[in-house]
Amino acid sequence: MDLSRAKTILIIVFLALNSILVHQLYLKQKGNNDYTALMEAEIQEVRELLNSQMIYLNEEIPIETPELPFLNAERILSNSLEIRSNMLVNDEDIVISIDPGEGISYRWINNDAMQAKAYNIENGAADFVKQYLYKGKNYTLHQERLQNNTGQIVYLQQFNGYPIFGLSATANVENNRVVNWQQNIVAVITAEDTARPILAAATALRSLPSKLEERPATIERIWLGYYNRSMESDSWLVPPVWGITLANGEQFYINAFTGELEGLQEQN
Amino acid sequence: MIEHIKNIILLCLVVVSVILSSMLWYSTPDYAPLLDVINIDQPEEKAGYYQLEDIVKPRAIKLYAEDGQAKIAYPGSTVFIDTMDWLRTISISNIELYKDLSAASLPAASEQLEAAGEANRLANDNELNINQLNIAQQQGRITEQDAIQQVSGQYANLLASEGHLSKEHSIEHSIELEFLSGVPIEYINMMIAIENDDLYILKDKLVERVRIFADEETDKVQCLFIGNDEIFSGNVNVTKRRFVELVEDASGQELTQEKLIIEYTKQPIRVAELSNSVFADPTAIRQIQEKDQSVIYTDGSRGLRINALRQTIEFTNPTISSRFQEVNFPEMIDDAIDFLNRHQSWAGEYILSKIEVESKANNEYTLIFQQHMQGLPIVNVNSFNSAEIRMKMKNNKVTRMNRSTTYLGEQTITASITPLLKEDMQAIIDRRTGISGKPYDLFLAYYPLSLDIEYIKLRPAWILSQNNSFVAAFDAQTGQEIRE
Amino acid sequence: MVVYLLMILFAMQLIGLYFMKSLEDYHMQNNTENIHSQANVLADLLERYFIETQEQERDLDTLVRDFSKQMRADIQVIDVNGIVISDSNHPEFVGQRNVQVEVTRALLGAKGEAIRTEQETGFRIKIFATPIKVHNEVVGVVYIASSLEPIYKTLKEVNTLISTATIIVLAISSVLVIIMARTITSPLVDVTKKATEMAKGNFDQQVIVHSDDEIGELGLAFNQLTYRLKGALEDNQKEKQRLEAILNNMSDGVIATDSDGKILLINPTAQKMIGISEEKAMIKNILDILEIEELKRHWFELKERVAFQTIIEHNASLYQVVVSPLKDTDTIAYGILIIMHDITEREQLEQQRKEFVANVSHELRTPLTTIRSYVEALVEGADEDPEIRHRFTGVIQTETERMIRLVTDLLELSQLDAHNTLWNFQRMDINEIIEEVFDRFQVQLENKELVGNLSLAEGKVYVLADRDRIDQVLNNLLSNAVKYTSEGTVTVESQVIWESNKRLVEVRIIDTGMGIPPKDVSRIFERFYRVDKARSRDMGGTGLGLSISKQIIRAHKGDISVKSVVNKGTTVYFSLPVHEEAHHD
Repeated sequence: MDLSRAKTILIIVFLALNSILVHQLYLKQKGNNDYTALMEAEIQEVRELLNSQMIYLNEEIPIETPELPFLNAERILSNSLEIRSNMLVNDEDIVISIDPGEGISYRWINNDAMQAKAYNIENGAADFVKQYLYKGKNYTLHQERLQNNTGQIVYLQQFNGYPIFGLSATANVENNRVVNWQQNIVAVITAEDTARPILAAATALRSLPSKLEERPATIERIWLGYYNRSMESDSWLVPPVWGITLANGEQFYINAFTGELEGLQEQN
Repeated sequence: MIEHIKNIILLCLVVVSVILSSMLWYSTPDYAPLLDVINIDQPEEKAGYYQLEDIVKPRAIKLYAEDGQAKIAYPGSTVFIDTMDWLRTISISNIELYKDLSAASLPAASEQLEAAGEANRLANDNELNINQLNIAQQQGRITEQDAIQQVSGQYANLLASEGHLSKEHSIEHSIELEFLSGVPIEYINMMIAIENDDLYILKDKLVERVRIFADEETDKVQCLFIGNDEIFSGNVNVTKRRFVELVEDASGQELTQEKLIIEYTKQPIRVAELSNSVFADPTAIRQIQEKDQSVIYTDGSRGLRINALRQTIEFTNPTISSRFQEVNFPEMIDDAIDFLNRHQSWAGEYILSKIEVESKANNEYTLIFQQHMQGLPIVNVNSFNSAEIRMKMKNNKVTRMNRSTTYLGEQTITASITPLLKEDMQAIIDRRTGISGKPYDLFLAYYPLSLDIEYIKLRPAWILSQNNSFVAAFDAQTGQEIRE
Repeated sequence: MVVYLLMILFAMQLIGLYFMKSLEDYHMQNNTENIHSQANVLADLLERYFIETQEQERDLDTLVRDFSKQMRADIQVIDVNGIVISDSNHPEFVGQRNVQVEVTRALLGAKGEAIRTEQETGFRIKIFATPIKVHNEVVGVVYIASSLEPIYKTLKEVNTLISTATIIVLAISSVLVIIMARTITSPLVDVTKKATEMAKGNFDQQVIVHSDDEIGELGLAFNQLTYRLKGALEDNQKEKQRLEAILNNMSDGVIATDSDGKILLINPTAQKMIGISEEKAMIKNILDILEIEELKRHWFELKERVAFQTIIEHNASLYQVVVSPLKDTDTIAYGILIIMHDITEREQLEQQRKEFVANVSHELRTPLTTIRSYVEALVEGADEDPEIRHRFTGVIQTETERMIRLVTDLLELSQLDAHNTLWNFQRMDINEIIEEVFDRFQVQLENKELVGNLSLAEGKVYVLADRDRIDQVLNNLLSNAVKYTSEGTVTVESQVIWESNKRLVEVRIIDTGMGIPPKDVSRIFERFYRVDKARSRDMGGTGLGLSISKQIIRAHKGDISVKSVVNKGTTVYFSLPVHEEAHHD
């Protein structure tokens, strides 16, 4: 018996065994948290349920159920100086007005300035917020509602890759140029320490028929994000939600922890 | 050299595999902990569970028997209950406008008054001076509206006050339902069935009193809906004979006149259990300390704000659909009751005392529930505001609740008194200035007197209110004004 | 053997893993299915409780309790708000709120399932929540919490079983494996050990063959190998020894060198011939020790040449040298073989023979010449004169007599050489013979006025001898003594002496004659050797006398020797073994 060769073979064999064991251990530790079979049955059931209620899906129901924490939002009260210094583009011709209830609105001081300097979204709609918005780097492009190069672009503040519905900025666009833009309340967002598993999108969608009145309806898009609702306090909790956009533009937000309807989109 | 390394590697691998196997075999994954059931109990002896019928009641039912004397039955008494039960069995139809108390008909009213020959008496008794009013109006000291209001209110009062009715309507054998405030017709519909078509007529009208009486002339039983501006009449589907019988029966029963003075311990609400109850996911509640030292419990959408200083609880639930729903009072009140039931927010008996309209277009209403004790409402005063629960409804769903952080806890009855009669109370009030000349409402209620931090005493008192706002309270036994 | 053990360990782990997993899966699956089906049944049954009024509550509790007993799990019925309406094992929970995520899911209409850990006890509980639906609307939730601890307990027991089994199997297997392995390794170790011994030269090892398999065959083969090898080595050894013996005992010298001339082998004879020891020779080159001309000249062509012979002289000896190249397969010469044959004696003998023939020829030719000349004279007329005739024929007769004497001596010598003489050995007294011969020479002594002495040993001294021959010897010696002594004495003595434990009788003939020069002393016994040639012939000697005497004495197993001083005298000794009386011929 060639001991050297035997050893090599044994090393390989035990390596394989160890990897199998580690894999099994990993599966075990993960526990039975992913009930994929249950999930598939669930999605099927929900789809049938929605179809029977004449609600159709243009997008596949997402199957991921990550663990998400609550977000803490703290109101930032800033004056226009702070805002200006925080924006990448600090142009004197931009007029910034702060309304504690409404938010921050930006516009050009006069038409000439606007014509000269207004941002052309052909340069990239997503980049607009980074330059022209207070704490714009936290914002991402959410929706473009343009017809003939005129309309609105909605941006949402985002955290960790998830959009926060309710903390938005809207840019009014005419002929591809941003004429004025608004930003509702700005908040500092931090995440809580503990993350909890969220309801699957399928489960959340179950409650939709009771909340939706129009039939037939078509679901265009299902997002996972957070929902911010202005509270009177200085800091408040922001729960994760499943955001559902219908074909007719309506948006629902269903709390991803409890399955309750957080609200319909109030604007737009 | 290589052999040596191989040996070491092999040894490590073997040892690791044995360790892994034993781990696999013997260890179990950590699972999330099982959450205990959470307590949502409020003080048990006080928590109640109410149905719609329990809440939707008039403040008092007055029965006029043959002798013309009024008997007041308060909620809780058998007469009251029986009468309410009977009321649920009847239905009203053919509603039409009976009297318009607005400006156009004012002269008619005063004419009627004069014609009734009651003018002087009224003037003497109630310090009414229409002429004065007219003069005042002409002099421009009071607006026309005010005049109208005063007169119409007075008229209403006249009509309503005991013993002063135009002869057009005999008050014999009538049942009158008194409400704490003007209520929409749908509300009344919850107690007495009204034909759907007729409901429409009374839509958006507020009714202060409902009187069911046997019309002497027509021998029919009729119903009057008495509001601030208008009076509507309707037919009741019950025979006169039956009605009279009922009234006689009811009024024949004894009504105790004695009222108790009761002392209570102030029982604080269990905030934790309440929050466990109101939030959809109690494990996700966070506490936020506010600048004004109130604590907010929130789960991101709903919020429960506890203000220890003012001893108030405010619950907000902004997740109500903003889609406009048709106003549906039964549904609305049901939802409010259901909410309060669920969260064990009752501590005692309550009546829905007021429905405030915030915005009809947006279907925003405020329901006010008043705590009752022995049939008498407990008034809300600064030192003790727990008698009231205010529920703001939007689109027929609870969107806000305001109440006190304290209940009435254990009770010790200290004494019982016989309250003054209404007429006597009125006489005392009349002698005061500043009250006359305006319509007022006088009713018996319990007045909370705060003895100290822990105890509260409820005394029966006559409450004077004008335009649905509290003016003064008078001790029911002595007639003295209660000042705090 | 460790390899086998590791293989077993691997196998057991794999087996254990899959077995445990299957068992666990089976149990959990079973449990889950059970819970699912029971929950569904319960949910269906409970539908009507939610449609009807609260009076059913007591029945609800009973139902729940029954189900719970059957399933051995906690069952809760929960309403739309998450409040517990009925609990099978904890009635105190009624009215409280159940906040598990699964209940939330169920309230939304989905089924929820999970495993949780109970906080106080640490038990693992499987919870399952399924909605109770009335007309597709969720009115409540059935919540089941079933402890998994019995399953885990069972699994743990099985686990322990398998672990113990593994350990036992490993232990037994390792023992067995070690034992089994020995059957392979111990014979191999044995063979290895014996092979090592063999390499060291010990060929008496034998491997014990236990089994019939390859190992056994290895053992057998090994033994055969040992045997053959031993034989071969012995043969080799014998051959070598033989060769060595031959080489060592050869009378010829053998020198082997390598192709450069460096001496590889030199046998003792060669060493003696050359006069060099082995150690010294081994470091030298052949050309240094032997002068072989051809080698010197043709060294480089040696490879082409075949063997050649030559004669060299070395250290005053003559050797015939055969030089042959040692060729490997007829092509490459890898050395030279030199064989030295000592031909000194042969040459000497050759020389002697030549001398002898020359002498004999000369001795014979002289008388013959004389005879011829006298005969010629006679023939020519000398025979007319009777006196010349008488004188001449007298000379012819003398010469002829001389020649006959010479030839007779030669013949006798030849016979003695060839050992063809017929001896007549008899026991006799030597003194008697001596006296007899002595008496015979008295006249001669008187003639030459020499004094003759006789000193014999006392008594009779018996020897085993041929009387005639001894007589001849004494005669010869005395004759010589008288011949070469002009004056003085001639003494004959006999004495018994001891030499080398033997009794010998020594006979001495002592004269006071002219003596023999030292250089001739050792040679006088040679044939035809004359000290003074002229004188001997004149005296009528053949020159063979002493040679014959020496041969005769030698044949009597005795010795003869001479001592002489010039002009003083000569003593000739000879000794004969005394014939003991105990021996009878």
